[in-house]
Amino acid sequence: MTPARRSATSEMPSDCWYAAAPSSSVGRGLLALRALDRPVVLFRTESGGAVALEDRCAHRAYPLSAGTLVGDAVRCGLCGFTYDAGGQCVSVPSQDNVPFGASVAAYPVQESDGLVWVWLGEPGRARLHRIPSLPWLVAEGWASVGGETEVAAGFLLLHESFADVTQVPFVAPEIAPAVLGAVSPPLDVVVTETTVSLHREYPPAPLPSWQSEMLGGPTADFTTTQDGHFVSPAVWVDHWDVADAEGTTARLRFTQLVTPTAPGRSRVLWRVSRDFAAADAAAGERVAAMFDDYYARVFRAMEIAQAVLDTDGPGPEVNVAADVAGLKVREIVLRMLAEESPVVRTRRARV
Amino acid sequence: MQPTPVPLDQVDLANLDVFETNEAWGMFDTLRREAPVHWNPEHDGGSGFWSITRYDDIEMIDKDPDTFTSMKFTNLEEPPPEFQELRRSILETDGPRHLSLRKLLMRDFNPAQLRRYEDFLRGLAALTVETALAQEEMDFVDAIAADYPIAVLARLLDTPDEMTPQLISWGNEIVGFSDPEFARVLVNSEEAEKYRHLPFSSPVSQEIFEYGRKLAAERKGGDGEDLVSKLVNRIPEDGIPLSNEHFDNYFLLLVVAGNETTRQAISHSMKALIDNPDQMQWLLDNPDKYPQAIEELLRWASPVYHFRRTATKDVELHGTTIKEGDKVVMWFASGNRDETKFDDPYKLDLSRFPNDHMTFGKGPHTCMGANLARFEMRIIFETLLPRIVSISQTGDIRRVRSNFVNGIKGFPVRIESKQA
Amino acid sequence: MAGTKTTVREHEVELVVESADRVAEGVVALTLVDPDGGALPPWTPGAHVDLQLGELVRQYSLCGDPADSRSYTVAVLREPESRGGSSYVHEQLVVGSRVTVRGPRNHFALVSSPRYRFVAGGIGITPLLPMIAEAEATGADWHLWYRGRARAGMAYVDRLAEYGDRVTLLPGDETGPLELAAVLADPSDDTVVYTCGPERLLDGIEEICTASWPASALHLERFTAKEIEAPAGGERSFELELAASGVTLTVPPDRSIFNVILDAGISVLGSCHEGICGTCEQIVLEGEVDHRDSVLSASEQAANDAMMVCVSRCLTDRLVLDM
Repeated sequence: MTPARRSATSEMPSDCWYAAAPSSSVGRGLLALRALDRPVVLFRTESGGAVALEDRCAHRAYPLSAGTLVGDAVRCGLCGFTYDAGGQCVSVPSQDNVPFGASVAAYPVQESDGLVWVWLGEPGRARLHRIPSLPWLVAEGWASVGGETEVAAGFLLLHESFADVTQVPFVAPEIAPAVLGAVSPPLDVVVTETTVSLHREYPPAPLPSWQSEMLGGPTADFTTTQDGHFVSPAVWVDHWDVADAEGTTARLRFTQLVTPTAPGRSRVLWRVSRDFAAADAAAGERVAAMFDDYYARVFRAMEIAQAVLDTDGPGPEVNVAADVAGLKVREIVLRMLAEESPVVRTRRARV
Repeated sequence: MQPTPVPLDQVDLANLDVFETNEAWGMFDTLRREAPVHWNPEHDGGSGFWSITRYDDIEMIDKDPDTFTSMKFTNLEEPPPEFQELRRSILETDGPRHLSLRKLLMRDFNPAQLRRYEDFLRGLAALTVETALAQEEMDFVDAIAADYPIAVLARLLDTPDEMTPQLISWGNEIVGFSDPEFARVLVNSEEAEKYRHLPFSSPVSQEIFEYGRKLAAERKGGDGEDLVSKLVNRIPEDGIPLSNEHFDNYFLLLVVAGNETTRQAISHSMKALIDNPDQMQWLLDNPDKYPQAIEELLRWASPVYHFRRTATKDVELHGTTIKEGDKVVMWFASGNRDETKFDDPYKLDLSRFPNDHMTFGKGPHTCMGANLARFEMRIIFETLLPRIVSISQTGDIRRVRSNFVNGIKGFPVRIESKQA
Repeated sequence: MAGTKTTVREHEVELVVESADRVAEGVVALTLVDPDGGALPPWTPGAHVDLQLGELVRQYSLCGDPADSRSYTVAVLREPESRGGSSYVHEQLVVGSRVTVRGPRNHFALVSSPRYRFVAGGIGITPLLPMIAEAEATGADWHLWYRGRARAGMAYVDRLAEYGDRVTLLPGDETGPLELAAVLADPSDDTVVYTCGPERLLDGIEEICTASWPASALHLERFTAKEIEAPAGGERSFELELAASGVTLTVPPDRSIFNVILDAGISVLGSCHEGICGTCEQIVLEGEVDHRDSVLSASEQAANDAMMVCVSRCLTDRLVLDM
């Protein structure tokens, strides 16, 4: 049985690598952001390594990101406490000795596929978890456009929305490929302990006009293969591949990188990657404009849904067969949260 | 009592008159002996069916859903293909989905769950019996057999008391779909064409659906312990939620199955005990034997005559070829009188043991409420029989005109009673 | 628009044996990789996979590194009494063999806790290895007691050496017995117990934990259940007590519980006799059920409070039913 629905936003899984920012946004400045309801500051050391620290001076409530970067250390803009890349306070202006216990949390960081990933959970557990592989974001022959949006909707609500294969034609009818509204092919859902994938194949149909134009206007019908992957609470990826009988193929990857920022709030980095018309700047602009609009609408819809949840609480929901992927995602996330929550028990009654 | 033999060329299990006059038993006997796989044409436009009447054959078919599928529906009626998905319930589903749907509620009928209802059932049985015995003359069906199972159902569904008469009448109309006295619209009549999208082609199904949906809407998202709450709030094990149609049909099945069949079993059992006073006395003298006696009464009653399967490929059985797509009817009632399985099958022997009857079916579609039905029967007879000083039948039994449900609709009795 | 036909299934993939190493006497560790080098689904400590071994399907705990996306590792003990999965692994699988893998799934997940006690018996060490790695990584206070018949047959002793005195090795050919009462002394509210191993060990631990530990402290996984499905010498017999009837019976290897009860003249309800209809469910009071039905879910089976008496049997010597 599926666990009863809790508020989709009441808790956030911390044992997970979150894509905090694009590598290109992290440099020799102090980048402030929130993740898991905590303030985080990102910067690079002189040798180029990315660092993530708790963005709050140990001395008084003041963000380190409002201070300055001195070599590999951050100096508080209010009191001058200075912290090294490991979060340890290394100097204070008023005395020679560093006060005992003066440090801020340093979060494990890794970079891959053009993203800075941060681990906010129990630090020791970081190396036991994998960072998802998203090679198309940086690979030769691919071009990506994207954006970053703060969304007033919880991460689980967003994933459930990504898992809902039926939404696109309703949220954004004009960009939905013709095949989406016309037919409803079998939906194949594959689950593991930690992931959910969905797969659909659509019969041959004309390409949507924007894609057709970028491919030089082929007249043949294309078959479409759609794969969606819940990789972790931080990542949902959609593959959208088309092929015609002559062997022309065109692949799209939609990467949605979700970071819960607070209960009921998230930040989403989204990327639309294509392996066709990759060098065509005008095509890139067109795709960017189109999907900027699309994601704005999706996120707006999720904000409305979140507002309903916030106002009226979780209510009865009708599920349809096509919701199975979203329900499985919910199961996995609820299980993760249960395993993370500290052990609380009562003693067994003696009999 | 041994039924009168019927010559093979006069056997016709599609003829409902035969069932109204209780003459099917002689036909079953002939078929078991002479034609264990027997083609029976239908007169109302149906494509005809194979009658399977021997215990072992029925068991083999019921346990082989790959060859004998339920997906093509399980009553004699052949719903048009365009309505099959709309009408499909757990009865007409096979494979993993079937098991997932079954598991939604199956364990709500397990021994641990049923135990929780024992006090309720005893109280209800006492009240039912007390009320009925206020007069000496009564119709047994109306006074005892009908109200008691429906009150149990109402408790399981947690419906208000004032709904009980409505639940009874719905059950009558649905299961008596071929009896003009019960059915507003006779199955396979011209009028029924309008309702072919509904289970049993009955407009009553629509009313039951609407009531079920009302309950579902009230209970969705709640934490009720009743079967409707569980049905709407649980997700099947395969992860695929119930559709509206699934819910409708599941609810309908609970209403009908929980009501009608138990009533028939109780009525038939009472009739059997009146006809076999020595057996009734034996049971009163051996009150620890109720569980065993109930099994014999269930075998005897056989409240469901048949369920149907459809062959998924050509199969040979006893030298006869059943073609792919042919309807195959398992006459459970006949299996319960198979002399190769039960010694002296027409003798009511409450001490019969073991008693592996097929009243509830034999395979993956075995009745989910079997243990509840047994429990209900045991408690009503444990309550009723010790109160009886004498009981006699005071008029003719009136039978439901149906070859699906073996039903009694009128059963006048006189009971002289004493205080418990 | 026509309805969407939806199917849900577990992840299944054909992997190739990259290496098959003898890690102890009678224990082979298989490293399985995707033939195309693809990434394998992530898992967490305690997870297991199904291996399709000829006609058989067997479950094996993943004992490698959860962060390794390229390979899965399972360690399989050769069970001389078995004609089942273990001899297939030892005899049929070599480097380059293909094997179908289903999962991973996890019925033995590691809950977050400041303190752990791990108790392994023999090959039951496998699911505990990744748990120990995680406990160590999080800085939890933990200890492992690892019992085996003889040191030579105890897998991964070398790897465990790096943990120093957090690990107590108890090879039967060198040391005295595992003193469960001492291991499980001083129950505490912030400690959880994880154990995997043979029946006798698990029963002993369960008995102590039931008596004196908090209700949810004990997490155990029985690795013997599936192997017992096809024992070389056929089924085993066990004692059956019907508590409410006050009767004690013996279930011989060739009779079902259902039939033994019937033979004794006691009414028992059943119908399909194949573990699919759910009619014959009975309440279990004592004994470890060897579930073989299709009715109960994995967690319902693990609860061990109900069983289908037509097909399921008993792993312990005595079964008590409430009937």
